[in-house]
Amino acid sequence: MKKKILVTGGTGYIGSHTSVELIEKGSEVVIIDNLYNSEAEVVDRIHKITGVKPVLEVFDLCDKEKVDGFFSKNKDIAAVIHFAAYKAVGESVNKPLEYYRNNLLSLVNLLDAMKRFSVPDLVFSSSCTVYGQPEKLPVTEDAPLQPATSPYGNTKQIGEAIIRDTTVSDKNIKAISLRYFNPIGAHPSALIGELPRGVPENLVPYITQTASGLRDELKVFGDDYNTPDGSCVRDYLHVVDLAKAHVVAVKRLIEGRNKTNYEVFNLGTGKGVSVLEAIKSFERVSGIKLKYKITGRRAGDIEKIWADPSFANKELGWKTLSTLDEAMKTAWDWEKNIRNKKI
Amino acid sequence: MIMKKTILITGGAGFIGSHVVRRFVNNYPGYLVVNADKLTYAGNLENLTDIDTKKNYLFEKIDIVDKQSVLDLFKKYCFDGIIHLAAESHVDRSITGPDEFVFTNIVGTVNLLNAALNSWKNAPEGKLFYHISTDEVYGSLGKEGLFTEQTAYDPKSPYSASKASSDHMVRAYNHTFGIPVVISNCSNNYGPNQFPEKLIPLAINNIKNNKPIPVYGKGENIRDWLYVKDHASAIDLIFHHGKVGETYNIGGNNEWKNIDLILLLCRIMDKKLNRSAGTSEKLITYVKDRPGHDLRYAIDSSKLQKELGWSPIPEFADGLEKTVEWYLTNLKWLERVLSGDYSKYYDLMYSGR
Repeated sequence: MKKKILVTGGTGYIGSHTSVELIEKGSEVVIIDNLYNSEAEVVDRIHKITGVKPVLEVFDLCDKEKVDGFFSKNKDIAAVIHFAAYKAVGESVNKPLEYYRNNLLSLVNLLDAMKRFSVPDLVFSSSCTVYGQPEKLPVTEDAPLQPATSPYGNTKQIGEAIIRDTTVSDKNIKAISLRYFNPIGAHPSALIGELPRGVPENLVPYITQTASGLRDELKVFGDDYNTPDGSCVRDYLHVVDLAKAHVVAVKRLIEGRNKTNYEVFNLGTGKGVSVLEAIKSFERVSGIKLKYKITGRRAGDIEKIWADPSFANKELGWKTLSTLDEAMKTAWDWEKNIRNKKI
Repeated sequence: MIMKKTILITGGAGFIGSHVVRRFVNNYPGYLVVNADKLTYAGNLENLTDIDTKKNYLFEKIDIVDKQSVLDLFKKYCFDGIIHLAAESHVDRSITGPDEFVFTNIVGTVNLLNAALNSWKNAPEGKLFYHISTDEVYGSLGKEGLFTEQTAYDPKSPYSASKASSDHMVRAYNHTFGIPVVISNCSNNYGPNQFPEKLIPLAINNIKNNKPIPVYGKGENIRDWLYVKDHASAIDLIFHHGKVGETYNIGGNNEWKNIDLILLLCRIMDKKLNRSAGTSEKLITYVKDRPGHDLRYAIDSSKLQKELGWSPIPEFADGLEKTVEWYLTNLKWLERVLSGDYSKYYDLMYSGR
């Protein structure tokens, strides 16, 4: 597949890992990123891993002129993988307009340019947050969507609707939305990984930052949920596995193997893991006893969710390969690397 | 979309300043970045040739010691934010000539504070005066311990005393007049574009030319090294997300004895120059120690990492290797800096404009 793929948000966490996988499968990658929450240096890291330095164009996708200018200069773009978005759930509650403007306007500009410049294929970065607390577990793609509990979650739901409606109105546009469960870990080279800004909202960066001494202790929010050990249950998948799903999805579109013009896939391991189990996994791979304390529930947390990935397994021929321990080890290697810790 | 702002970066032609200017010009196309620099020996506009034709970048040659021209600059632009890096920074020079340090670092900072106060007096909300400072204000450490934001000031050299004074002035203007300020204190920087009077580029240049590498005393002084691009990313984060009135330490978590650092550099250079292992090491020459040479600086940057989520990107060997590569592929830059030719770039680009 010698195709030129545009990766928006390609210097971010999932975008950078996907860029690596695309390059390693022989695609040419062009990145657009406004570097709002990432570092330009990441392309040097991608270079170090793959031997290829992707082109990085720094601009904001909300700037329609720039988006159009980009597509008119790059007529050979075969497909787009769209990661660029603001992603902090908590922040989105305080800054809803910024989230709606950024996450939706960028998508509209992108789709509009794709139509006019005849770029047919889009892979969209969505999230299992669209399901809220599902009634049936594991959750399948046809589970009803629940009203979003944050502006961030809402931008993913609305984003999916915008794409679906576009594919209905214009038969030349095909799209796949990938609903991620909980991506964790980092590239095994420890050269790229997650760089959460501020206090992490997610479990694994909080665990690794606590172990590296940056945080005093981890708070486990609630041990009285209706789960085997009382802590919340999630479906943690290795970011490299997740990245590979994007390569498969974009290939499916380019080769016209999609069954309908708009498809949705759950990406997860299919296995629920509790917060306490995740902590044990970390302790196993790092040899470090983690300081944590059980506190009350955190508002807005879902009790339990894990994916039924069988549709992606069957249709995409994709499944997760890494174990929780393997993913956790890469997360720890990355943390040690960025904190210059030689533990 | 990111908001439009006009920001002033002082000292933007210098080593750290040029990396900050480049980052802001590239990453914030919606900002107008005004680089104000006196272009002393340490200011070099050739550091910025890759971005100096961009629409959101402007250069102003001014001396911040000249009160009137600072006021005029603020009238001309109405800045929303200031990142103040302009300073005399070389400790050795502060020992031979402290006056310049008092003028530029203290008087210059007060001139900028007055101009900001004058410009923002009615509406300080959303504005920010960001002062870039050094960990040397905290004095010297023994073998143990780290400077935190709570460490009492104890500057030891005319340089660090001048930076400590300017830090105090910045805090006083916040406390007395309500100017929104933030301060960061950083450890030793290294990376591309550093003037070759400082340890790392000096050593690279001398190794390249088979000249002796001067090492003060026994080389046992310890410094924490911060890659300049990591410093620029920290400045970006603090400028946008730092809490008004706060101080943030920035460091590389990366302590090296001078002699160990030089030995590592020698090994990297041997490899890069295809010399047999151990060749460059022979150039090490111990010289009489600097008077009042602080033994050890080490900085605790956990507040910045904890509250704003900053982390340095490269590991040290990686950053050092990149730095060596940069100097070896930019020999022209080094030549022009050493010969003084770089000062002609300003005349070429800007005189008569």
